[in-house]
Amino acid sequence: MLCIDIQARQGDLSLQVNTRVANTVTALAGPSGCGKTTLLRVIAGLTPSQGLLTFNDVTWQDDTIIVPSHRRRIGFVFQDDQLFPHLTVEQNLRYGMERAQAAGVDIALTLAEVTAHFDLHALLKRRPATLSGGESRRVNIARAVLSQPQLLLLDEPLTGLDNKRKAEIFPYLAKVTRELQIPTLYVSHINDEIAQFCENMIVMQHGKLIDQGATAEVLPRLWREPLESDRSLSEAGSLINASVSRFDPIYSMIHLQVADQPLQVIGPKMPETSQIRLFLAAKDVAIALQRPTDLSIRNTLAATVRAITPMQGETPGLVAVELRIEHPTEPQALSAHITAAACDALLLETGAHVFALIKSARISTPSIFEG
Amino acid sequence: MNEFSAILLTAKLAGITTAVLLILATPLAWWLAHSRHRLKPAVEALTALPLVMPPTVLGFYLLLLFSPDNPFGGFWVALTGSALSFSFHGLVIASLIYSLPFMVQPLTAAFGQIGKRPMEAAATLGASPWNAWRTTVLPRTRNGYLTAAVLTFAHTVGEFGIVLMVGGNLAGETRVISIAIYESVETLDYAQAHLLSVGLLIFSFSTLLCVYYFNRQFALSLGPRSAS
Repeated sequence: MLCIDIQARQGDLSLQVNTRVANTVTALAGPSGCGKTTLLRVIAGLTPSQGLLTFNDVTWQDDTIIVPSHRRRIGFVFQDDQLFPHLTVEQNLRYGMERAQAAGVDIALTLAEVTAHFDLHALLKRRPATLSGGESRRVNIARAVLSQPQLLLLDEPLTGLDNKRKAEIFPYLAKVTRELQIPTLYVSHINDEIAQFCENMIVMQHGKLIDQGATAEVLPRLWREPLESDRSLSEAGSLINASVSRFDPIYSMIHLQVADQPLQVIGPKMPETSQIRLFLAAKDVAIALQRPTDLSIRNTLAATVRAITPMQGETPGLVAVELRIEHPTEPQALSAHITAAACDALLLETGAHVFALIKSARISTPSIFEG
Repeated sequence: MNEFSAILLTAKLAGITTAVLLILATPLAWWLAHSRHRLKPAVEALTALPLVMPPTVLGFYLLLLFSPDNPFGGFWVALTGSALSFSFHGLVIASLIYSLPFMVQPLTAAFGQIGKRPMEAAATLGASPWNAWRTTVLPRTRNGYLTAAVLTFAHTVGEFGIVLMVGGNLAGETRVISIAIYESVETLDYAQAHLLSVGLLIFSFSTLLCVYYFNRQFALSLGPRSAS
């Protein structure tokens, strides 16, 4: 548990955050300039702040103590690569690990394990200057993980990479966030990434926290937040859990099961039964009263209307329709934003049985980007 | 032999000055490279002052400072039993001051080029500030240190005005090469003056050649630098 109650000033930004963050993978989202990176730096002890900061009941900062960065046992992956150019990849990797060892920390993740996890074997003797952008990012993440952090801080680890490179890093980030069990704060403003990696999320604006909760709950209600400027984030949507049933190599389509209903998306071959998470933007979901035929849209999911809320503010004329994909044990929530006119024409009301139409081509997760 | 002792004394003076400045100038250059303190321009100007002031002005004030009548000079006498003026120790202190910019400027440039980010990355990897500095900054500023040390050494060897003002011309104590040349010319011993002058010329040229050859990325600014 990370307890934050801090104030900090950085240029024009006045950061004021008071919250608790569970030891899971938590997204720190919000428009650019909202203070995400500053908050991360405050937690790391790199940017001075006033207030309280404790992690797992150990005080990192209060009125009398400030634990310096190097004693907080954090792993930090900076937005811009910060490998030491005068050291080889292996020396970079060992840098944090050796210091953790010297400080008497148990080495839970060994160099061999992490090298294998991140496929770094061929890179060990190379210098950072000879690495590609994707390779370099991988080494950065591996180095942070190897320092045996009790808290991992990732500052937009996929930023600045093209889709091909993102797809390259993606599986490694998935390993870090899902398998290694390190509490992580993941700064991002991309809903796809957040849906993929983060169980919880915090939404910030103008240096303040404006929403917090489980990702599956926060993503659909993002439209309620008075978020500015950042289109990708203000795009509300749903987090859908799906399992892979098969891969169709002819059309390059992955066949998925969502609450026992089929869903098809374009993407690379994935092992059968593997679980993936998808972000479906609410604007990309249409509603029909009957299962349509002769349509280019491949996906129709039977669902029940749970709530209909007219949207205010910037988008008058739209309604947010909360749907539930029924399932005896694992129902899933899905939101659709449609026009109020369409809603009235369909005579939609709570409890109605409808079909959610999702265009396969609109579904993207970073892992599904073409390589 | 008189000239040999002058060469030896010059090397000793330049060596000590360089060694002491390496230690003193490092924190100052680090501060100048990274601080945003409002007094930074003043400190920068003060550091660069020896570059633009006539050496005689600096020498004159140092002479007053070193005088046993002055609190500082008096304190030195009380401490060591001998006066600073016209002594080797006085010469060392004078050299530290007039060679300071030659050490500080290349180091400031080198530190500025690297920035603070590597130190931050190292801190998040568990390195204490000193350890972080030693392992991420120092190895990458070797060229800067080489430039700074060579320039400081060479400049200390070549200084004349301040040495004459503060040190005078005492064989084995303050009579460095530049003074010896001056004296040779005064006594019309041109052969001797030629010998030392040519030696100094070759030495200065070859050290600068080395610096420029090995170290092309640092532009050597021998004038006052604008605030960076």
